[in-house]
Amino acid sequence: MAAPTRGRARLPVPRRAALSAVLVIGLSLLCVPSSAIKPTDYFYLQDLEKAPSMNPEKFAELFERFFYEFSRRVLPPDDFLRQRAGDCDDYAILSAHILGLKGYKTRLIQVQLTGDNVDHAVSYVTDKNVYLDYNKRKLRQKLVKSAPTVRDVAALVADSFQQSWTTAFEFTYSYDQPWKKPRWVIVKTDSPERDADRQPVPQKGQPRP
Amino acid sequence: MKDKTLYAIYLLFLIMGAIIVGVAIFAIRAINRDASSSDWVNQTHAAIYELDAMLSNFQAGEGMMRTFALTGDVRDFTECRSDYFAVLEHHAVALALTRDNADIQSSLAQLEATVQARLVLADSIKEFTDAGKSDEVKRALRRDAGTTPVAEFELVINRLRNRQFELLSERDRESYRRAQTTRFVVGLGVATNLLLFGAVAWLIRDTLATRRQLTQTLQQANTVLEQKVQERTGELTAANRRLTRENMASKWTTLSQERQLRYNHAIVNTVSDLVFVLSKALNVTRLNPVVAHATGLAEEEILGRPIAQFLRLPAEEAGAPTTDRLLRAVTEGRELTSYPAELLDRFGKFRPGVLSVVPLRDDNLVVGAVVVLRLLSPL
Repeated sequence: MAAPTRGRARLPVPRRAALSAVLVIGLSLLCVPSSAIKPTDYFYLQDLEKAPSMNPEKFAELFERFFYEFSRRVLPPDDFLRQRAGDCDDYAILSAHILGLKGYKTRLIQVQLTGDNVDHAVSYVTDKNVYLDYNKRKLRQKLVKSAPTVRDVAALVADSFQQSWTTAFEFTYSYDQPWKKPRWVIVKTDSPERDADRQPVPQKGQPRP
Repeated sequence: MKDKTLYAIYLLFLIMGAIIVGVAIFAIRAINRDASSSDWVNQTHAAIYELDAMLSNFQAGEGMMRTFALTGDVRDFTECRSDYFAVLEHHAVALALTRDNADIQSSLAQLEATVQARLVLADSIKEFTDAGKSDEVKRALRRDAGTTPVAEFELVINRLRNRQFELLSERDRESYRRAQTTRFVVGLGVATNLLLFGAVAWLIRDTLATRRQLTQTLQQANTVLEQKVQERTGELTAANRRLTRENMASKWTTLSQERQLRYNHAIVNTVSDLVFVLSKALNVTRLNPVVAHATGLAEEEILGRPIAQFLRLPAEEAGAPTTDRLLRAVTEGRELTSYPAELLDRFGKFRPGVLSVVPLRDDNLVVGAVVVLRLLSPL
């Protein structure tokens, strides 16, 4: 008579397979890094362009640890992101570029303040009626709600500096051709009815006022 | 008087209020004008800044173009283009800032054409450099040396800057004039209000003085009145005392007279003959108890009735009234003594007696008579 075999009790085959699958999936989830960028991360233009769900709020949150550093020219985006320091137009142009890629309609607006020749650039997101302002990156409320005209944005920007403004212009910029091209300029002393962005959209072939 | 003063004060306050409101409205308008003027000054400064920035960027672009021609470094070329585009950026702003001035606009258009020409030159130098045609680069630069774009550019910019400074001066003068006007109006308003305040204060002071004087006069009148009241009260108290004394005396006199009257009645009542007191019309006004006893009538039944109902005197002539003689004696104020008469009792029975009549006088005027009847038969 054969002696009974001693050993560990074994699970039935289907249950063992299911447990193995759960373990594999869990381990793979632990090993694969999260694709969402955090403010503490170092990230570059490519990361921002590839970020799957980018919106103005998430974009603004990524820059809350950035520093202010003035430069005469607009910095190339990777320089700005690598040194984690830049100025208002670096941020505004980058946000317009990234949010434009994500399907948002954006406008770049530069406001000329009175006094010591200070100007300030912001990017306005038309879909949400907000603008992104580098000076607000560390605040809880990082986006500023505003009416869509350049004059309204200029008044809010000037208020945030507790200063007056003289002119504001909407411009375009691309990293391929690195210079600002003004679309139209708004002058504070003009009647708002004269503002170019309040004029009816011209027909094809007709110049904008 | 009081109402007039009050209305005058109300009117003055109304005028002062109107002046304050007027001055406030004027001052607010002046502040708004100043703010607007300040915006214009800021705009002029901004235009000057844009012109300066155009010039500096243009000079930087020129420098970078020549540097690129020397080094062939593409970064210098990029920098050169950036500078020229910065000129165009400032140019666009300067155009907007001076859009109402045709002269400036034409000058700015001239500057833009210059910048565009410099961009074309820079591009051509880039093309020559890329193609390795350094001779062409030198030739292009030599050709360009004959022109004076930087000096012309600077000349135009300076002219435009001077025009902006003139505008600044004009606006400053205008602002100064407005400030002077505002100072004058506010000063005038304040001075007028101070004068009106003075007038109101004077009116109030005058009214208060008048009221104080009135109060003093009233107090004096009150004091005099109080004195008079005290004097009159004293007089009345004295009169009251006197009246009380007189009243007491009168009461005592009355009591004495009543006592005397009672004595008189007692005396009359003690007479055993019948006594009638008659009025001038010969009605019985008083009697003694013997009368009631003799007639068998109650005193109340006799009093007030004519004596003729109880007494009968022998008539002088046939048919004449039986009291004719009695009436004549009373009228004439004569006495009758021991005159025969008859008493009529309650049963209609006559009883003979002797009658005496004495007229009653008051200040020699006969007011009545006393009739005494002694019956001849016993009761």
